[in-house]
Amino acid sequence: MPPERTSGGSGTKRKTTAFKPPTRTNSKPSSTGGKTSAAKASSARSVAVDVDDNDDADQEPAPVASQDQTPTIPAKLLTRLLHEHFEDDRTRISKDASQAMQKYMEVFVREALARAAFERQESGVSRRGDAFLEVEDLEKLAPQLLLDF
Amino acid sequence: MAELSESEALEQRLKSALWYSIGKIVDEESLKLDVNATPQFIGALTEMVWAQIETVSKDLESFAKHAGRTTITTDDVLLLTRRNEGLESLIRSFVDGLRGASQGGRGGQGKSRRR
Repeated sequence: MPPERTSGGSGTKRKTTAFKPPTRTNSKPSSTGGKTSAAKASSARSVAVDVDDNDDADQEPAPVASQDQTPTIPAKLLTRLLHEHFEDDRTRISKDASQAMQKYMEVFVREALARAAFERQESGVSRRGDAFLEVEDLEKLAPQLLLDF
Repeated sequence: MAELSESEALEQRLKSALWYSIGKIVDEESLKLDVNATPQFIGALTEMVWAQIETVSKDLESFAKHAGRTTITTDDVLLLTRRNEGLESLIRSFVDGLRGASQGGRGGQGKSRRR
């Protein structure tokens, strides 16, 4: 069990690092940083609309893909969620910290996916050609993932 | 009654938004990993992320409070990752990148532990 975990983890880390450059270059220059956050804000707004209406489900992917090159959890949404769970209303979060949290949660999601896909490839290749990740795959990896994060 | 359902509705909306953005990450990642994810998988993952955000936000708040602050800083986020070396170094280099981008100043305080 431990060697599997290690190999899965290191493989994911390499992959996640590969995603980092685009995200970083977006947030590094202060001028583009403003644009990115504005784009994210508008995408967050459109999220609420899209989810409620479900009318333009077919049109969704194209505009979103052009807005965000690397999909991530929108900063505004994450900050909102964090504030939602704070016990003290006076608690604030610095901008850098919220960006780091964004990274943290993104890694969390991608790690979960990578571990699920890894398990699938280890065990389920013989079953079918194209692998579908199921809830039970997540159930299997959840305990260790939560310990690691 | 009305107030309760209102907060429930808010939670549902936030969860939907989270679901949507996680779905986008899953779509991108499943192309790279050459797998597909069922909608139920994405839903369960959303629930997991939601629960993780809940724990993490309380941890961060406690860390900041313990340091006598009301504002959460990157040091608190790094403290979250203390048990996972790979994650810590990843977040640390990300934070260092942010600092380097914003200014050269305020360098020596927090980041000197490992680098």
